[in-house]
Amino acid sequence: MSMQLGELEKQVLEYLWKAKPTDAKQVHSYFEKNRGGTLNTIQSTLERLFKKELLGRVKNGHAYQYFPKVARQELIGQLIKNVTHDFVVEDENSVVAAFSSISSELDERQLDKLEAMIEQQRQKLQKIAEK
Amino acid sequence: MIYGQWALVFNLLTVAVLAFIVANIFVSITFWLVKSKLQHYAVSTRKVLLWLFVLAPWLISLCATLFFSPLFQNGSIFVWLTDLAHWHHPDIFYFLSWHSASLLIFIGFTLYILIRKIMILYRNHHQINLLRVLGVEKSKQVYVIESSIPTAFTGGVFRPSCFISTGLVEQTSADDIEIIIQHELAHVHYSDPLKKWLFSFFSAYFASNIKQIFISMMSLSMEQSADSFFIRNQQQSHNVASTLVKFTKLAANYSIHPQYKNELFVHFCRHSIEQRVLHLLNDKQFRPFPMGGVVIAIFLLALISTTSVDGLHHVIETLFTH
Repeated sequence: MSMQLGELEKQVLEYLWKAKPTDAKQVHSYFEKNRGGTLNTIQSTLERLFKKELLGRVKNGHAYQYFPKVARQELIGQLIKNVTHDFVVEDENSVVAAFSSISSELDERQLDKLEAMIEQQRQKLQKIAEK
Repeated sequence: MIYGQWALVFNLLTVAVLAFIVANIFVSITFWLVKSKLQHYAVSTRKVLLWLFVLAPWLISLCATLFFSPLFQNGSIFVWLTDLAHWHHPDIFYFLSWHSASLLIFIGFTLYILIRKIMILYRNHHQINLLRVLGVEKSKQVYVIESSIPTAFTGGVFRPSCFISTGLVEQTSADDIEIIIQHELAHVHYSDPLKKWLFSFFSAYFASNIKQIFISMMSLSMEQSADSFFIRNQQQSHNVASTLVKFTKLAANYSIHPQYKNELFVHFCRHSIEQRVLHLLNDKQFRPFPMGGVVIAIFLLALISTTSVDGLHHVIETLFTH
């Protein structure tokens, strides 16, 4: 999951997320109609995605059947988890800036108190404006 | 053992390392004494002061090295200064000595930090790139990513982008989303991911508890500064504060990091959100930049560090031979 994705790689991955496990020829026949390209290009793209650990494969006869290792949502969830890990623990290695830290145990009452304080200030401002 | 110009270079590097260590200790003590007073300064001033704290050992070490160099030590007008601090036999350097040992330890430590930080940078760079590819570009530098987790963050050290999840878009009003995006765009404007990375590199040379406080304070200052970036009146301040509380309440139901559900973390979070809301509601006057104090502190720290290097050198040379 640590590699950059090219446009074709992204398209192949998106296709495999929707399709059943499939071999290079089937992938090629789909892309041939939509965007062109040779079987060789598709084969090397699948190979690259396999090396990037985004695809798995099983041998079926002479050809490999490719399938996504993780579902789309799961991959995005994993990436979010990884990049936001830093700011959640206020890690010294943090390189991400987030709108708010995430926690499931924030004190609800404390947040209600803050909300009430904001409302109070709002009303105060409104009264001043009315005068 | 080597002689001449190269010996001088190695001796000056040893001076730099010793001055850095001494300065680091004095800067840590100074920070510990004044840290509670930093909240009386505006966010921008606080950020500059925090940068000065983490960079001070480097600046002081540079001053001390210049002072011990022939530039100062050979000039007749600096005779009184050279009595204060001087380096013995600057043109002879022993490889099997505490000089070279301290130099090697420092270089080793710096390489260790640098490699670690670069690895983090590399991993983050690719993960952010992958998120960009999988997301949909909503507007310039803003990507929507398909996830039920309500989240918004800015990532990408050299080419920062904002990311908001579909979970957040679905569960938040359009006005709140706009506020969140503006907050994230402020991080892009300030290049906060890159600054965070650099700040974490420079603070890595401090003791663990000091380093944690530095990072927490800088992180909070960056968030406060992004909170107020687009604010033009008090009404907008209230809106941002309200969105912040609403978002925190929403995110609280979606913990993706259960391993950090501990008291310490919860307190930090609460503390941070509370401080940000109070900062938005507060219209108090902050103290101006303490220019005089900063100049005097740097001068004194440089003087103390330079004389301490000389003192330390004398003590070690008296107790042990090379």
